[in-house]
Amino acid sequence: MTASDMTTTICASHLAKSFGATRAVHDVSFEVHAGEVFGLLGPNGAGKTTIIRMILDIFKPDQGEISVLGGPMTEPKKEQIGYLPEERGLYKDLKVEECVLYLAELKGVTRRDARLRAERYFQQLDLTAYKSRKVNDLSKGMQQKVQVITTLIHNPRLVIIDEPFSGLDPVNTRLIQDILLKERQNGTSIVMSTHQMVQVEEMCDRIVLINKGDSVLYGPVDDIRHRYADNAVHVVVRGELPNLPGVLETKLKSSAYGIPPSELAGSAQGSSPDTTKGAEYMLRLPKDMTPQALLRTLANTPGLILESFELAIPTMDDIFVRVVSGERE
Amino acid sequence: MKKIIRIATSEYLRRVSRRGFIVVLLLPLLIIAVIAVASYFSASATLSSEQGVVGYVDPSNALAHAVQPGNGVDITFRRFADEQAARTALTNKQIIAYFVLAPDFATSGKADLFYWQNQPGKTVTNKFNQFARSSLVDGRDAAIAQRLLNGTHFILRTPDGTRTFSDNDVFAIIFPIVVAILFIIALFGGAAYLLQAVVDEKENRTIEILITSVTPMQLMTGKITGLAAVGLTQIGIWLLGGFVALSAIRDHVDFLKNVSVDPAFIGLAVVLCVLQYLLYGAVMAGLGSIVIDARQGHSYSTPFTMVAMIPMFFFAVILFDPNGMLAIVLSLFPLTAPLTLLLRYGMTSIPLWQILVGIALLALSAASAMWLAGRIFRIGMLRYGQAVSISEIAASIRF
Repeated sequence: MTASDMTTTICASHLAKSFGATRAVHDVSFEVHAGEVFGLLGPNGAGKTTIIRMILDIFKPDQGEISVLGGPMTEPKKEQIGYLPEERGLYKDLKVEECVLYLAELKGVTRRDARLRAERYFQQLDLTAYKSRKVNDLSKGMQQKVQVITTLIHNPRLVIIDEPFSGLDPVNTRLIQDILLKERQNGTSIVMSTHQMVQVEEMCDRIVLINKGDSVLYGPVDDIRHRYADNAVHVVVRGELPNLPGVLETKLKSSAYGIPPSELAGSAQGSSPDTTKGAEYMLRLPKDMTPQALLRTLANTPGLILESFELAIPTMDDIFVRVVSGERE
Repeated sequence: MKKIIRIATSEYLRRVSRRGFIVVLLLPLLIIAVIAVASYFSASATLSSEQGVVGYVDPSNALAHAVQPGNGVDITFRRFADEQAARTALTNKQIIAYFVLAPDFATSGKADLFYWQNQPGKTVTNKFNQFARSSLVDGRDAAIAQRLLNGTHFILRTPDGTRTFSDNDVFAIIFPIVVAILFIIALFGGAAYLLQAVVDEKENRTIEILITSVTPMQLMTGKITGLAAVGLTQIGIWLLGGFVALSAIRDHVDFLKNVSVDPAFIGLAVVLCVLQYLLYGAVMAGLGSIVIDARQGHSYSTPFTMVAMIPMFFFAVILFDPNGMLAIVLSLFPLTAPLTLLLRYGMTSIPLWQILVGIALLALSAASAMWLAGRIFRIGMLRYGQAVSISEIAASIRF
């Protein structure tokens, strides 16, 4: 086994899968490394779930190969994998604790250990008071927290989670995020399928974007965002912004305090905004103009106070929409 | 194996802790208890009218040499000179009833029975008949006289001597039928539950979690084994309840005094029950994995239920011709074998080869059905809102 094998948790190579005449996945390749959060992204029906099921050996690929934890899937390996499906997979008529212990035991954890670990998670996720209730009596968010416990209770090396934050309020979202990031710190690989691009930006190290069964984007999140960045900058200035030579487009985004342009007093009346409070602009530059050149121009403009200057990096949300709607790099 | 046991245990505990199961379990026990209590009181009431002194008036002196019933019988017969004396004794409760024999009793056998409020039970009339007949054997050797009075008691024995049938042991015939009926009730209840459970797991997506922990075969085997354990528990508790009730009342009910349960029958019943549960459980689990919802599952399972019920539909044929062609065929066909063999057991001596071949075919079918259920389950488990076609099932078998 090479060093690369040691750190590669999943290696999918040219995967293809069809159901009858429907081509679900076509030539998808990616790798997931130990200790990273990997985003498996794509619009509805893109083929993400099929890929997950191929990883889990529920489906066999028609073509291509998939290696999980250093080779083909085996029964013992299943005990090192935690899976959180998009839809709740819990026994509604069982009590919370019973349900968690049962699913943990099926993952090879002894009942005693499962009880200890469950107790810790119940406390951490504020579920202790609910452990004797039936799963069906819990709210959607609480059921999701129980589902997260069943995914992690056996200390898996690979975690596959499909929309893990579904139904959670911001506090619980943060709680689950922290738990998952701690798992990553401990060397666990996390494959996360989600439509919440904010979570992708916050958590994912790398992603693969699937569209209509094809891999259309693959790599580290930061690299991808930079690759898709236009030659543009965001600036926050106090004072009147003059016409800047060479700048292709000047777009008022909001006041420096987050007030959208439509609500800015001046903007609403078609005149200049109240620049004494500061305003944020997006400035699009021609290809031959560097941000450094613009920075020098702004710094030398009399009466203009430059409060912030940063490259305009597109959000993952923007990139997702652009790629899925047909625009390639 | 550990996971199979865990799944089986979980299925078992979930099933037996359900209110519906407990109701179905207790209902027959309640019926048994009610029958036992009613039999006890009925026997007690009969007993009071079947013990004591019974008078008789014998104007023709026909019973001059009649012999009183032997030890262990609580009835004695006392002769009265005339009807008036007998009536006085009845009024004074010195006797419980009296017979007045016709003057031509020796040839006509006619006699009138007089009683006050409670009609004497059959034992009284039977014993009086015996008492009357004893006068006919007067002068013969006592042992021969007793034999003549007792009549002939047939015991049928199989050629190999392994089974016997007594002409007065009705219990030996009824008991296997009762076990067969209890078995079929438990089987259908358990099978319907398993079908529902698999459909539910599919519908609420629990199945996705399970199959990332265990193989479809482990899951199926665990579920079906759990179901078989539930069925055996159910029948075991019913039989135990029956035996407790029987022990409590057997000394008070003539019909039950000498009954015994054939251990070979119990052994055969257990083997057949377990195998039939495995076969039926596999069929239901397989169906549960390919149907869209529980409603469709129940409609698909109906043909299998009807087939398993065939021995009940042809009960009369099996009863009157337990070794006929139909009974033999049904004893060998796996879905009907357990019920047919159980029903036939009390009525005939089933040839050993039929039992062995029936069990072998049943075991083979159960093993094949479990294997097939695992294969079908693999293609059906993730099919939501769409049934699996016959061609897909065929393809999964070939795979």
